[in-house]
Amino acid sequence: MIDFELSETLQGVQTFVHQFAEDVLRPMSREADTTGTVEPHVIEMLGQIAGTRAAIIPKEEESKDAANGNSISNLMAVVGSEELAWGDAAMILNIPGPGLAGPSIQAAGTAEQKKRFLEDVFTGTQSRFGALAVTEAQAGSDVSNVQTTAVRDGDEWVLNGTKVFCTNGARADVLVVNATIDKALGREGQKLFVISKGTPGMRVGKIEKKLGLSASETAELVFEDCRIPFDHLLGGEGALQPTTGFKGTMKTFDASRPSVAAMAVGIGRAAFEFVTEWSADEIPAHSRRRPAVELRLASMSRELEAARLLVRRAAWMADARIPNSKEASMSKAYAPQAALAACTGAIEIMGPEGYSREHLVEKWYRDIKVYDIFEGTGQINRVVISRSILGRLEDSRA
Amino acid sequence: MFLKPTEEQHALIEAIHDFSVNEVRPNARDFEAVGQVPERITKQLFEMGISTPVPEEFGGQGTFDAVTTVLIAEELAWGDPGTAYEVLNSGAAATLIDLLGTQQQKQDLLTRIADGQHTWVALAERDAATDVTRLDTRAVAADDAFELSGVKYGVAGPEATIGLVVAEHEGPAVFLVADTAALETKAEDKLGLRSASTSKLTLDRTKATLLGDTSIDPKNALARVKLINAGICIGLGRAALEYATKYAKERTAFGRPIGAFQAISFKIADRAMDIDSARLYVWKAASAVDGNHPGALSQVMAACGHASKAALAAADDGVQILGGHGYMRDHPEEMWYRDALTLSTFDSSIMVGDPFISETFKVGAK
Repeated sequence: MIDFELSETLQGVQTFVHQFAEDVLRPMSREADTTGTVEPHVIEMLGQIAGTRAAIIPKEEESKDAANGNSISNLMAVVGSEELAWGDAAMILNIPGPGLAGPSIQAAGTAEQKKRFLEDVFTGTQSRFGALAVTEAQAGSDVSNVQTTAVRDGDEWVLNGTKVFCTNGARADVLVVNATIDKALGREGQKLFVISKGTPGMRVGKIEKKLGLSASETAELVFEDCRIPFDHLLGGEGALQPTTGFKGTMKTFDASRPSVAAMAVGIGRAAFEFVTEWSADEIPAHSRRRPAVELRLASMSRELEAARLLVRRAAWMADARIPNSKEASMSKAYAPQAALAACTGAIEIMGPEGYSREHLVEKWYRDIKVYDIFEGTGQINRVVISRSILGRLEDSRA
Repeated sequence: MFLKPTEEQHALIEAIHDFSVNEVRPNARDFEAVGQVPERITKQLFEMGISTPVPEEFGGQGTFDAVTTVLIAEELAWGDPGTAYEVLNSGAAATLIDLLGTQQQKQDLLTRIADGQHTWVALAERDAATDVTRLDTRAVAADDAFELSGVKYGVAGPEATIGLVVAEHEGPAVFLVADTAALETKAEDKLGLRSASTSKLTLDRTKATLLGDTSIDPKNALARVKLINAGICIGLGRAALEYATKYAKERTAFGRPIGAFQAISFKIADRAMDIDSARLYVWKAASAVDGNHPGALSQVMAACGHASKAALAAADDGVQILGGHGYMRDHPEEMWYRDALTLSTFDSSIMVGDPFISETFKVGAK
């Protein structure tokens, strides 16, 4: 039966994470944005309070929906991500954990690699970070155009190239990098590799200064004859089959896009809730602005709710093991725009008070923009959606 | 959380889809030309137990929950939005009577409906097209009955003998008109939904009795009626998008199918997102109604708004993607374009802000 209720477990997660976001993240939000960094002791505390280490790899038996036996790990991720981003979208990227290395290793790694690179690294007591480096200066959405090479040399791979815009790239203990083993093979030649922190031949380039998400580290990574063991190729020998690597990268997106879209919903919701309360206090019922403001608020809330539903559907499908590339892309294409509309609307309703740094709305407006860019731009997600509806029409070109 | 129809619902959808493919879609232009849904169609839908849900104890084939109602509306509207509008909105009287009526009213009215008597429901108004909690039609107690005054629009199947009017009486309430033949009605000659026979109804101290008693809050029952049009919006949007998608794959320009150009394919992606999110929104509102959630009516109104926006955008882009052909009556896109706006004026919440703000998007809303 069609049912939108979250299970008790998920409601519990929602309440717990929301409390953390409200009590811990929100009060530090402005300072983290201004200084552009999160102090190590705060990172340590975030890790402890969030209890992320326990949640990194959900135990199978704990993450089942009692009603139908489905996993709930993807739903849990989107429900939690929305609440965390509601608290502060940049600070949460400083919470220790595997980050996007998690879904990519889960999607492409062997069982042994999942243990070695996730379980063994992230279940300890220290703050550990994972990261995924795909983008290059000349290859964003066009992932198949990456120029970083991996050449086999006996029991090792030798990597050369430069990655950009990598969240937590400089501090990553486990870095997943995609590189081509044979440019002639195009995207089939692309494979995912794991690089451990401090591997010789890898160095950190510049740390980016950005419009928003200032408190999140965005790094350039340079590989010069960087040698890694052969078994750091995700998927092992099996990955050398022609069709596996690129799909691994794409499968990562099917899992990560709904979570990123959920964060966008969280930011938009923060702005919507703030401006709704602000309007109740500042724009009296008899004001001639009031009807216009109410209409704007209604439209903001409708779009955010629609976004949230697309996010939860994509996550639910992933949990139910229903292929969800199209739906994941829908959530990712829709949610950032709905959230941007909410942030824009909030500033426009508040007028000059909206752009003031006295409130967080201007920060949310800066933070939200990148959600329509990273993890696949709105445009590339529309390509995914329309291809799944129309088929690959380009191929029938005369 | 679970987001797929049940086996039973799926079988029903299949049956209605077949009916839409074989009986409705191919003849929609003819229905539009005569300005009403032909008897053979309404009769078949009645016999299938789809148009007038009456419980078995009163001789019917059983009723549907709200989620099933919107599934039915989507599938029939995919065939023709006007047909779905007329048949389902007039038949909704059975649902209101079943949910709100006294035992005696149910016995009397539902038995007649199960025998094939037609019905109508007068709900939409000019200034309160959406918000059933702010109706202008008034009910005033007179002797042991009520007198209704106000103007209603888009009343489907107005020639029927059993008529219900939703009017303000300490909140919205549903009334049974004493003598439908004495009413002042004017057939609507309208932009779209032309296959639906509808009337504007002027009530001037019209004698009526209350359906049920004042102890029952009718908001949830009214929410179910409103959901019908939301379901129709989804069916319309889906039809318009599917048709345009097929065209975009076949029509070539500059040596390729036009769907290969992102100016076209991105419109298709955007409309698909609108329709999918609207469907989820409507399903969620319908489950809230089925679960008797206190804020269900607000959710339904917001869902109606999102669904009518999705339908309008899909119909607009449907015409646009077909270009000149979209403007011509050889294709159904121009009809859906007219239908979408007509539907949204009956039932749009785009013009109403306030009532759902607080209800639909609370912290931690489920």
